[in-house]
Amino acid sequence: MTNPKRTKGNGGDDDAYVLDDTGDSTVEDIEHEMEVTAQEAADSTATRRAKAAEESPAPQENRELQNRYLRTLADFENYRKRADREKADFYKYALAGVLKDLLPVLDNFDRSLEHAEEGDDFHKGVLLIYKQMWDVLQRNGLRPIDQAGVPFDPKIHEAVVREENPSVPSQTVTAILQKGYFLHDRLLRPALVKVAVGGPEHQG
Amino acid sequence: MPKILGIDLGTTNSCVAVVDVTTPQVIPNREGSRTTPSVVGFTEDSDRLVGQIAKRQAITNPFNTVFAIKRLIGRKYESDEVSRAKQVLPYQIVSASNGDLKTKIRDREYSPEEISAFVLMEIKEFAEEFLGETVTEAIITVPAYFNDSQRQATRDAGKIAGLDVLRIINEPTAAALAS
Repeated sequence: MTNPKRTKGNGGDDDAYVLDDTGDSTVEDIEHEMEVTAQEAADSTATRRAKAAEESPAPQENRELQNRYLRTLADFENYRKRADREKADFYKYALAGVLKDLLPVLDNFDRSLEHAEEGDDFHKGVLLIYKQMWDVLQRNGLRPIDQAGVPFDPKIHEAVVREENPSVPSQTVTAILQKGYFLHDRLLRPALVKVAVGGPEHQG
Repeated sequence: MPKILGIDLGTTNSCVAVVDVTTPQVIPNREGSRTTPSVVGFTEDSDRLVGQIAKRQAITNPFNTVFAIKRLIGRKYESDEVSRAKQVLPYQIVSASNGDLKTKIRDREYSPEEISAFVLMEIKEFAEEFLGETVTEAIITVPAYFNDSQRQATRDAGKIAGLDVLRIINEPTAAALAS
């Protein structure tokens, strides 16, 4: 390790001298080497500093970059929150599409039950199957909107028929033409309703 | 960075999107639907309903439910389009002092700009809810055939809704940019 150093230091010295010298001049060698290393280290630090000073961006640019970084960080944080929320919603309402497609089947159950004679074997059978299916759907978060006689609420009702009916307060749902459904607390389908008008004004 | 909404303020339905990092993304409304009916309803209890909800009660409240206001925005009361519209629209249309038109709902008059602003406000609200931050800037599209007055009225509607309308761009241009 010392040899190459010496060689470098002494320039044109011949190989024989170097080879001879390896054995006995350790202290001198090490001292010299330390000096050189120290010098080299100092040099390289200085160069690095100079280089860094040259490359370092203007303070303004620095601030701009930091600003942009902070904004990106904030954007990402918002994105993460939204992704979390969307994921939670996705799990909760994953069935929405399937259930929505199933609603016409429920409607047909309702219709067939309406038309069959109550107490009839056919009626009983359909009712049992309907109940079984309904239990499953209910367990998965489906809730019906099927109450008539309530004030019309456009959040859950869709008015399709309007009838003059002075016997009930104005804007009362007089009939449910097609049931509406909730999945958990999201409206899956509004109920199609008949609304009375021409009666006394609603209270409240 | 503050988000800028891109709004398609349509005759029947409106839609809003935002550039999410790199790609535009449509913002669903509170009911999870990607479009919102451009309908404004005024109830007996002077509540204002916007969107799907307003559409659902339209049949029980036809004189106080405003739709298709885009056909009237920025037009003069005396124009042919307005006289034609007056014959088919259930809500009342009256003349304003400057020759423009207004809709008259339950003894109050609303300009088409205000009605459009109600739709924009609703859009702004659910978009803010979705994004989790306030939004103050938007770009609104209009049909290519809209004249200066109709464009200005659309811009004013944005202003009433609390949106700084950075650009009004033509619908076909927007469609081309998106593809």
